[in-house]
Amino acid sequence: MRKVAVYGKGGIGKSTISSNLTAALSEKGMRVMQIGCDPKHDSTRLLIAGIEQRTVLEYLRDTKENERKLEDITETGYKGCICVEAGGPEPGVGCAGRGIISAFDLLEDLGINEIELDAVLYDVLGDVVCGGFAVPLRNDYADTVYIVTSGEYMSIYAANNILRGTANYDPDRIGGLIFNSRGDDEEKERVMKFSCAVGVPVIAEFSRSKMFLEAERIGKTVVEAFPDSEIAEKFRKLADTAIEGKKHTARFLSDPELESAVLGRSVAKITATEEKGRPGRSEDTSGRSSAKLKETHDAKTKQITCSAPRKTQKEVVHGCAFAGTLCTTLSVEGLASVLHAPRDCAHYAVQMVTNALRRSFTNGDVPIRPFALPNVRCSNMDDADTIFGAVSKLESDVNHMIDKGNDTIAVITSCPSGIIGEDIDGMISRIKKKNPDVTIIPIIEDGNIKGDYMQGATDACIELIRALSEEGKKERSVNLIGMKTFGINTVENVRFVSEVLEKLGIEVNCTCVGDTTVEKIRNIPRSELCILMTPDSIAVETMNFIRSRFGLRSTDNMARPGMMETELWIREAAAHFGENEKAELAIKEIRNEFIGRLESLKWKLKGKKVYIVGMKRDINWIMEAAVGCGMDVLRHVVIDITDREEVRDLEKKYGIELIPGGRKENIKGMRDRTERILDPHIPVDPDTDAWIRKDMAEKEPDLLLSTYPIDSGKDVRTCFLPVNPNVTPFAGPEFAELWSRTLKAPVKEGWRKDVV
Amino acid sequence: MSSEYDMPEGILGISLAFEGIKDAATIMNGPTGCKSYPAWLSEHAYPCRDKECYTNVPFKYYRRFFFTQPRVPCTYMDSDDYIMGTREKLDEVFEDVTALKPNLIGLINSPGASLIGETLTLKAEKGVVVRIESPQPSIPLGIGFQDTMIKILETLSPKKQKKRKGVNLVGITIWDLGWEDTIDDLKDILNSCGIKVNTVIGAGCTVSELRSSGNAELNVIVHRDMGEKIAKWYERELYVPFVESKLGAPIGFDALEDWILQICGKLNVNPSKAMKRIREKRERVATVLLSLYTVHKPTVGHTFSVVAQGSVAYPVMSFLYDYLGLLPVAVNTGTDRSFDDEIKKFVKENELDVSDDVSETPAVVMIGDGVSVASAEYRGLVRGGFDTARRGRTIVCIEERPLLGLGGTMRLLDGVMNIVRRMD
Repeated sequence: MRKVAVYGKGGIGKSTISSNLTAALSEKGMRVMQIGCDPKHDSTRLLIAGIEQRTVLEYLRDTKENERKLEDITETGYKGCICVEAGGPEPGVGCAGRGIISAFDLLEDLGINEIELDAVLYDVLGDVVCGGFAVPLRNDYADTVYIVTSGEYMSIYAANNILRGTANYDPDRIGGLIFNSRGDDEEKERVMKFSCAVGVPVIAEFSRSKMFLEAERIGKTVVEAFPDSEIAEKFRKLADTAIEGKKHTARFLSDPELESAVLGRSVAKITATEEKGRPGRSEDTSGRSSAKLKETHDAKTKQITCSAPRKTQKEVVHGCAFAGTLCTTLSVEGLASVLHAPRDCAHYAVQMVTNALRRSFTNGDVPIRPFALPNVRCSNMDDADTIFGAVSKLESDVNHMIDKGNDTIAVITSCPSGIIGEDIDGMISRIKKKNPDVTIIPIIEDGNIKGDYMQGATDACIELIRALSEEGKKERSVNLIGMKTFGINTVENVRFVSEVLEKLGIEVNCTCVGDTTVEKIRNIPRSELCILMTPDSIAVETMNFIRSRFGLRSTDNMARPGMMETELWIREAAAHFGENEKAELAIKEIRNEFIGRLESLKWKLKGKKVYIVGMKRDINWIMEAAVGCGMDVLRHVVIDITDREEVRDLEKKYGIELIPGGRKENIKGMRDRTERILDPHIPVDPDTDAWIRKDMAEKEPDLLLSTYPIDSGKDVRTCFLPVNPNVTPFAGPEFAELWSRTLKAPVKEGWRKDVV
Repeated sequence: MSSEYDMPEGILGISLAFEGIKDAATIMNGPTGCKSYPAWLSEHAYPCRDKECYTNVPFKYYRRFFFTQPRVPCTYMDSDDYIMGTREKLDEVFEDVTALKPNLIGLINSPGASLIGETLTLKAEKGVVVRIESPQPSIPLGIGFQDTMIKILETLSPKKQKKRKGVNLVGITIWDLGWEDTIDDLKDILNSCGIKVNTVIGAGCTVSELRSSGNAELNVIVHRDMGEKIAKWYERELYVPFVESKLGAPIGFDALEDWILQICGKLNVNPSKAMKRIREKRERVATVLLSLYTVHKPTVGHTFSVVAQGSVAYPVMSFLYDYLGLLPVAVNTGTDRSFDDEIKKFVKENELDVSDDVSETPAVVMIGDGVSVASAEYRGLVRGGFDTARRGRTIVCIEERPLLGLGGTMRLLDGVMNIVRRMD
């Protein structure tokens, strides 16, 4: 059986040539099937007397799986040929390439391969623009590719791209070029030059003729309408060539080579003046390089202004912005989230928060309240929706949430929505016209296209503040910026900071954004000051936005674990509100407790040798406890793993010094010691691990504080470093209590002997 | 508000099919966001397949493609890859995974990768490779799992066997809470009747076992939504018949007895030993219930809600109602419709008032996944919960905790009755 694909630039006459070729093959007594792979579904029209055929994709969308039959989507045409139209989405929506994939899958499921045929002819839309349009080139669908071209440069350009696309699969399948002349004097010469340059012959040539128009007018091919014409004879010869099936190897030209070969321009000149920006270059093929993507998006929505550090730095995108956004919006009481996504994505992201609640609740920690019953709905995009688009489903879901009484709704988009270019803004405009009192906040993350989890969380914070916050009368309150919505200690951390501030007569307004309410976000600009709760990009970017939009300032010192850091932020916040005396009283009280707790441990820990291996350099809170208890810190190794760029990013981007110098006044000598023993970044790899083991074996510590288990060959008691230590002064003493208990435990627990 | 998105979906089912095979590996051609959850789940549900990374090579998977997780490496697709494709990265990760020497590699396109028509074509293919190029979004978990398992079987081509012995269990996945304990429990009771379990299709089996899985005399469906299509494939392709209990999965005395009787009936085996064991447990429970009854602490009239797949929800519902006199007030089977008719009929026949909104209906006990139960307990919606699905409430599981079988039934009774007694 001959399996032929006909490619070529849009509008070049592929369908006319394909249907005439099918007619000519059918006349020879062959059983031929022609499959049109163009969303405008007019490939086979001339074979079935101009009748409009039901397309495969319409059928896929409208017919239940158990009711589908192959005969519903096939028509019998001239001389018994079988005609199929794949169809596709409306112009401007969906993904036509994806449509072809689904159409071919359905045809296969319905048993199209079981029909006895002598030839199949695929008439494929335009260029090989994406994987979808390359379907006929793969999976053994077509064994011969014919390329229709005129002598116009863009048509030859498309032909060259098709050769390039074929070369990506099986390059030895080019049947030849079919020259469909537009009447330009020099075009034959250009086609022949191209033919020579790529080593693919011109196997047929057709000129403009009224006969084509006349035949089309009566809904027939030239072969059928004018069987004795010269054109019909040419198609019969082409049919013979197709039956013979001679093939050539796909050779293609680089863009400068193509211009040189076809237009006669010099390569050097082309490279210097015109190459940049031409299709085929990686940065601009689709106009969706990262910068361009952002620019387009900004122009469209005028919302997202923050940068995407991970994306711009070409780092691995960890997690997806869709999930980061949802985990943030779901932590806000009074805010509904509507997802434009497959149900699978909704499950992946929602289970993050519900599971966080399960974990906290089961462990006896205080969970983030709104996580208990996420206020969320998903458009449940299915396969058909990713082809045809599903904005109407999303609209219906948003309306459903409004009907349920929600007046503040975030709309969050996933990858499929972004890839097919769903028009979310238009949908929101329609809903807002009918519901002017409802606030709808589009957060167009498009899965991970916008960036990683952190980017999504950052964007969510900023978009919520942008949409909801209102200037008003200033209040004696602060906002806590940069909540960790997954930290099991988030609520406890806020409780500590709030209690301290209460002693100074200052209220906490918004914990931004996590475990808060729409009302509190609305009031953010009314607070006088912000305190950052973490040194990550979510906190810093959100604060930058608040600062630029509302002129609010933040304390220079973040709320961090450890006594010294606690004193710093308390003093700074108190100074802003003129409560220095109250601050000193509060600090004295805290410090007494801090010192008392360390003193009670001193007799157990004094003189014990400790070795620290961690991923963070921010270990002052550990050093306070270790030095405060009289321990001997042998070494602190900071390991650096490839997928934890957070700390370096912050230093590079914001100049944040995570171990600030010059603060020696609190616990004498501690800061000096920290810096002296600090090793430079050591990237972790098997060699580093071996180095650490050897160093540990030589130094013989009593206690290892580490991020991971290290076997130095000698028995050392180990405590693991917490990922998110409590943002209180007592994080160190609490950890030190664990050290003292661990040092009393057997150096090797009995179960270790049982490990197989 | 609803907790409906806590139920897993079809694309997770695809990775469960590969990850349930002991010596298989899965590669996700997609973003890390599509990888991290199935990778986490696989490692937790079926832990320590590579003990090395827990002991002397802690950083073995701290590298590109794996990103610290031993299971389900990915091509970390990003926005540029949506335009340019991931062919080079796919070749590299394939080479990396091949070095770990799995006996089968599953290649899965993420929905986004599928949307742009990624082909999962490899430059240098080695070993057995099964491709899922077009994962269907928003379909039930069971469809994703079963379609993939069938594709794996089609690739491995188990042979028709003339000499057949033993049974295969079909429809258990590593998603099931306590799946290994459940398998042991079911094997144990079948063994008591002289029935040997050859292979559990898709949960802890090996590639070699799947290749020889046509040697079973009978396939036994455990969960209809996860196994019926697979069982029908075996019947059609390898002439292995299958059996299932119309009462659902073997949980609760009646459903377990019916399950045993159906299997023994098909194999023409005497079920009396298994029946005797169940009878002994029935008598033990009845003694406890009688003692509670005589001190005026009956279980009758207390309420419960169920959120679980149909094959669990239906037998649990009927068992707790018929056996203990508890009243179901809400039931939700997510996107699984496999026992909808049976549940509707049961509710109608017993003139019960049952809501489908489990997350808002108060009850004394909730039976379901740990997340739904934790949420309901936290909100004071229920007095207590009993977990039957991942994630469980119990963080460390050392003691055997079968969900199904005789052990599963006794565990269910213990759990539910202790919560009900708290009402006293």
